[in-house]
Amino acid sequence: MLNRIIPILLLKDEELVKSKSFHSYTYIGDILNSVKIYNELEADELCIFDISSSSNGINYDLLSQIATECFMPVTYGGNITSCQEIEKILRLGIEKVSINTALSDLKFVSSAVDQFGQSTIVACVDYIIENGTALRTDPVSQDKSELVEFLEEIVTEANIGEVILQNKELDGSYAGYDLSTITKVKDNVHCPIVVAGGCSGLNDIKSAFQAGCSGAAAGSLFVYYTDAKGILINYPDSSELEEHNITR
Amino acid sequence: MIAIIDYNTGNIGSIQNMLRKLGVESIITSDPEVMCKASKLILPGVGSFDSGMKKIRKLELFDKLNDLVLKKKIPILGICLGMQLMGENSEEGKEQGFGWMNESILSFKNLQLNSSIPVMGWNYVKSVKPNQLIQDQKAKFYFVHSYYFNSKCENCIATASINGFEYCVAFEKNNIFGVQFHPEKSHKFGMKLLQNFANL
Repeated sequence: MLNRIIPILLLKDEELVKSKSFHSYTYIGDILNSVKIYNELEADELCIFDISSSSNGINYDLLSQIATECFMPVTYGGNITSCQEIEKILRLGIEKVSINTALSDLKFVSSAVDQFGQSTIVACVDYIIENGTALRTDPVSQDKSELVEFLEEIVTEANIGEVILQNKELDGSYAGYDLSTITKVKDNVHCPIVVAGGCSGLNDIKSAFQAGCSGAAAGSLFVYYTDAKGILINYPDSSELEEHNITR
Repeated sequence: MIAIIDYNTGNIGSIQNMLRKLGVESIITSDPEVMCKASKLILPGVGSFDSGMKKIRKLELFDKLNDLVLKKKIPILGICLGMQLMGENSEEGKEQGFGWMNESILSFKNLQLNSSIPVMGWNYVKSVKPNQLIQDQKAKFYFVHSYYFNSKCENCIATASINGFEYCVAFEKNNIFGVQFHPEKSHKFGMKLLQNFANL
């Protein structure tokens, strides 16, 4: 299927926010208004991650409104820990669910894949680089594992359909994607990859596709006007993509 | 007024929402009396073939829809599972479909497709004969499915390919239309298609 360019929208307590290095959240705006704008701009797909506290649970009403509003597919992640929750989310009209914290429970992930289909379940994996090695920290146990090994495990054991890989330090930095890690991953792990973290523009997106990513995701790029942080929900139009020779 | 048939499979809010954006009135209903009065019907659906047909029968819609579609010739558009239910049967299950299309629905799992299943994502669609729904040769749509119609299917109006394997993604037979992809998740391309259907 075609490559995708994917805005990542962060929800905190029902508001759209943007982070830098996974903290320092800035209020961006209303999620439904933003979704309407991405509709107009004909985004390929949206990733919506709810980073509210797990005690808030999953806001099904809001998700239902988002699903009804969106004229493109949506991936939702945030506080998902059971197949019943996944079923409820999918029934609302959300196309895919993303699992991050619950990746520590591979039995759950595997049963979700069995029940809902490989393409419906996406793993969202954040990592940092320490002494030149990409490491993933388990959010619960705080154990560190080598990113490539972790990915091999989840792909083999749970048959995940796709992985969203986010370099935490590059989040909100406009410093470009961490393509050297992506290349190492692609050499060892057989699973479609969506890259996130650091995207500064269409050249980065083009490089991501050339490096073999099936999707290129971005947060700051699609919610800010410039790195001076004037807010503008935006998305590349077809003439800009043609100029950069980006095909989808 | 377009009636969007509600037989309890998935969110059909986005179909109504897209029609609303096009200025086309629609009503979501499982009431055959309401469907009788509609100028056109949409049969949406996600999920399995058997569960879809069972729900249709449970709501006593099987005979009613046969009457509306085959006798009264009300235009009907099947989307995704809705399109598949218009076939005879499916490799997915045991139930009999409406049989408006003399075709069986086949499983991608029986091919060496080199793709994760369900097949999910955007793909270009090629129209293979003049038709009323798809005229744009650069149209692309969003797909999510594990079963498909053969490209040689009679009344096929458009195909798509995955890793070189071509299959039927839309058909048109008199007043009966079916699309495998989701126009309601394919923004401007979907809007054009729904507009074409609404304008028939």
